[in-house]
Amino acid sequence: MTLIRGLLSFFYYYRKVKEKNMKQLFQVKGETLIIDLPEELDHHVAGIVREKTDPLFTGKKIRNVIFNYEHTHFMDSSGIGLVMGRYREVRYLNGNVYIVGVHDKISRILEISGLYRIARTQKDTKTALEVIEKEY
Amino acid sequence: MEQYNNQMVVEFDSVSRNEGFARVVVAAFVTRLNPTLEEVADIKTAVSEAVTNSIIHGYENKDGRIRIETRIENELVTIIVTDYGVGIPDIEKAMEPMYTSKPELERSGMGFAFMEAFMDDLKVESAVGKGTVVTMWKRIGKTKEDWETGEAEEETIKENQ
Repeated sequence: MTLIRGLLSFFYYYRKVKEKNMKQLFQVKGETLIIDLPEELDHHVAGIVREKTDPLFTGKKIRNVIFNYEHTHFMDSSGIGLVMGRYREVRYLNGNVYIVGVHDKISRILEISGLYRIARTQKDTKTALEVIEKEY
Repeated sequence: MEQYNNQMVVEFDSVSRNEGFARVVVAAFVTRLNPTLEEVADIKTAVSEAVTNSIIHGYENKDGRIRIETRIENELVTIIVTDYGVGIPDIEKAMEPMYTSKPELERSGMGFAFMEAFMDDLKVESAVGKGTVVTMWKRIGKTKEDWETGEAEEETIKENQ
C-alpha cells in the first residue's frame, strides 16, 4: 500500500515537473511567439515543439516568431524544417521569423541551409522584441 | 605510426526517440581518435540525418530496424547506416538540395546535403522494396592547415603507394 502511494506521488511529481518544463518551452507576448529551443533539436524534438506550439497559431493571432537558440548545442535539418514551417505561417500576416542566440556550433548549419535569407537574426530575445515593437 | 582498427555495430528500433541515442553512440565510439569538437558535431549531424531519413522515409514512421556499422581504420571513420524499408526510387532526385518527398511533414530537403557537407564522402545505395544503405567517410585529425596546403592528401597518396 505504501509502495503504491509512493509510486503515485512519484508520478504526480514527475508530471508536474514535466508540465513545468513544457510550459517553459514557449511564451506569447502580444502578437509574438517566443520559442526557447531545447539543447538538442532533431526530428524527435522538433515534433514535440510543433505539437506544443501549433495550437497557438489557430487560437491567437501570431504575427512574429522568435526562435531562441541560446540553449541549443545540436541541430540537424529537422530544425531547419521547423523554422521554415513557422515562416510560412506568419508570412500571410506580413510577419517575420527571428533567430536569436545562435552558438558557433550551429551557425554553420544555419548558413549552409540558407535560413538566414528568410529569417532575421538578432543577438537575443530582448533585442528582437524591441525591433518588433518599433515596427508595429 | 601505430595502427588502430576497430569496428562496432548497433541495431535498434526505427523510432524517433532513438535518433539521439544513435548519434551519441557513434560519437562516443570515435572519441578514441581525439576528434575536435567540430568533427564530433559533424559526425553527430550526419548520423542524425541518415537515421531520420530511415525513420521517416525508409519505414514511413512504421516499425522497422536500423543498423549502424562504424569502422575505424587509423584516422578514417566509415559509418554505414542501413534500413530494410521502402528504398529510394530516384537517388539523384532524393539527393538534390531542397528536394523532399514529404513537404507535408515540414522536411527541409537538406538531409543528404548536410551529410555531404559534414562528411568527406557519401555513397547511397538503394533498392525499391528492399532498403537503403548510406555509407559515409570522414578522416579525423585533418586539420585546417593540412587542407590548405594539401599535405594530408599527399600523405595519403604516399601511404597508398
